[in-house]
Amino acid sequence: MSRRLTVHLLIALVLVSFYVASYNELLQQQRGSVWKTSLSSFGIWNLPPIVLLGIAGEFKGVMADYLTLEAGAQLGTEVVRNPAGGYKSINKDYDWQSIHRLFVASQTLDPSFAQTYIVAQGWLPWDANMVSETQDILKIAAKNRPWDWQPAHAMGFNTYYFLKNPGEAGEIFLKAAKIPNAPSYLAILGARLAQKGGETETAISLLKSMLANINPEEPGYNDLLDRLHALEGVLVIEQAVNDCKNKIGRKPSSLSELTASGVLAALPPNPYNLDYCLDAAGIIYFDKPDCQSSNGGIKR
Amino acid sequence: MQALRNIWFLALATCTEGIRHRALWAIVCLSVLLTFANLSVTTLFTWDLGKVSVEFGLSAVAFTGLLLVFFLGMKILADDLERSRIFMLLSRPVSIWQYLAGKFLGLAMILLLATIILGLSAALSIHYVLWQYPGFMPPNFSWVSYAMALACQWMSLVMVLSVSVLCFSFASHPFVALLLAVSSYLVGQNMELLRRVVVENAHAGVLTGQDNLVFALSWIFPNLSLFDKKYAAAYGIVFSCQEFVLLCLYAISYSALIIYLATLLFKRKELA
Repeated sequence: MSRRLTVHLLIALVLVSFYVASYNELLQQQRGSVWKTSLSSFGIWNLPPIVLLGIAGEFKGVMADYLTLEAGAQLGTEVVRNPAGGYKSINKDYDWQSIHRLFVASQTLDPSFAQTYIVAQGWLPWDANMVSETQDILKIAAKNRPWDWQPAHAMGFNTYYFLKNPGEAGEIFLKAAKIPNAPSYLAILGARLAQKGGETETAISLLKSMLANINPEEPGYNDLLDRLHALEGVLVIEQAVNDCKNKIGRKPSSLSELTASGVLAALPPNPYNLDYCLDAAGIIYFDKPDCQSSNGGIKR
Repeated sequence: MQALRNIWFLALATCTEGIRHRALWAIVCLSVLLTFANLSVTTLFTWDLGKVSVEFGLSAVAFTGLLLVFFLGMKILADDLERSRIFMLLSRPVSIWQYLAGKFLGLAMILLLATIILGLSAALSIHYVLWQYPGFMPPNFSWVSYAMALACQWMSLVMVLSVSVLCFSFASHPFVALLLAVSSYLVGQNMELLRRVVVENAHAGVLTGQDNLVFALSWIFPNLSLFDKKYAAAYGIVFSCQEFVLLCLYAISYSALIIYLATLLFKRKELA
């Protein structure tokens, strides 16, 4: 009996040793090459969206959750044990195309999931220089999350910061401001950017439509009203500048020239009790009376 | 009246048999496990925790239900044939349609029991998550929508069950029936997707221009994607009572038709 037991133990020992040795060798080999090969290159997320939807079936939401977790796991710094002691961080060589596909796959399965667009916004435009791809992700999120102002806010930010288009950014911020529970500063910021980008009329109409839906008793209503009146003043001056250009064949050298030439009887009132200012580029400011000294503009 | 009584007794016997398979205990254990899994999985996320929790809970119900249909349901049906118990039943004044209807109702009752237990445990875990992280409560979330989504899930499982009974009624071997039922489930889940691909996509390969074929298939296979309300429950998207009632009617009419068809086919099956 004991001899049989010894034989069994020996066989088990040999099998276990063989298993441990082979598996350990395999793991060593995998770990040696993992830093060069991006893990995100392989996976179900590389399948066409339609196939992905077909495979996921009724478990689309859970699979989208998993893919977003996978994206989070692929990103970030990796900390490994240093053979000499302690830890060291490894800068991974990200395969941004594959990581982008991961986000797209996750969004295909669940277009409303917040974590997808937030993580994508946190990485893709900054580290991968994938601004237009991020905008696409944000656009889908904004469409499918009508209660959430943040996708539009992020889109506006990207348009202003990365794409250097304040006018369009302002329009996006103004649209975001119309979403319930959006912070009131979005409307003011949007109006300012839209006006800066030469979209004064758009800014005015969006502000008007917003004011129409706000109770005058609500906090922030008067701020929006002041901004509307200031923009209306800017629009009057902009139109007068164009009329003056047609009349005398050049841009006015100062805002006082508008009244002197009879194009305007008087400059419109500014609710901020500041002078309007026309800079060298032809932009009218309602809140920057010293625009001439700051950027070489022409002060009234 | 006697027919209804026969069906009811058979349904009760089938339900009891299912419970004796220890399936119910397995479901209770699974529900406890999934409740804890829901709590831990949710904390892996930073945003939309409520959505993750609701969707995980409802997906757990769907997954367990499918396991019950494909394995427990098919086993109970196959056992009757393999252990020749069916002859004992059919030698009494029980017709084939009563037998199949009774079996179907009994299995649907097991599914209902499982859905209630799993749905309640999922609701508990969701409630805990929403209580812990109130900032991530989905907008317009309501327990009524959750209950309706759960009911839709059960109806979807009942439709899959009816297709399984149909496959069982003509397949030569339970394994073949299982394969056919799983295939039907996959087709049913993707029916809406297939329809969209063919109708909305001009470059659908071999499917281009096959609108009539897809239309015909959509009437043959159960359109299970219509019953998938996890997304609506997870994001608090309201779906109307009218839609719910229509889904109920669709599930009942489709299941009744399939069970009737299964009866016709089962009569031709060589039982011995």
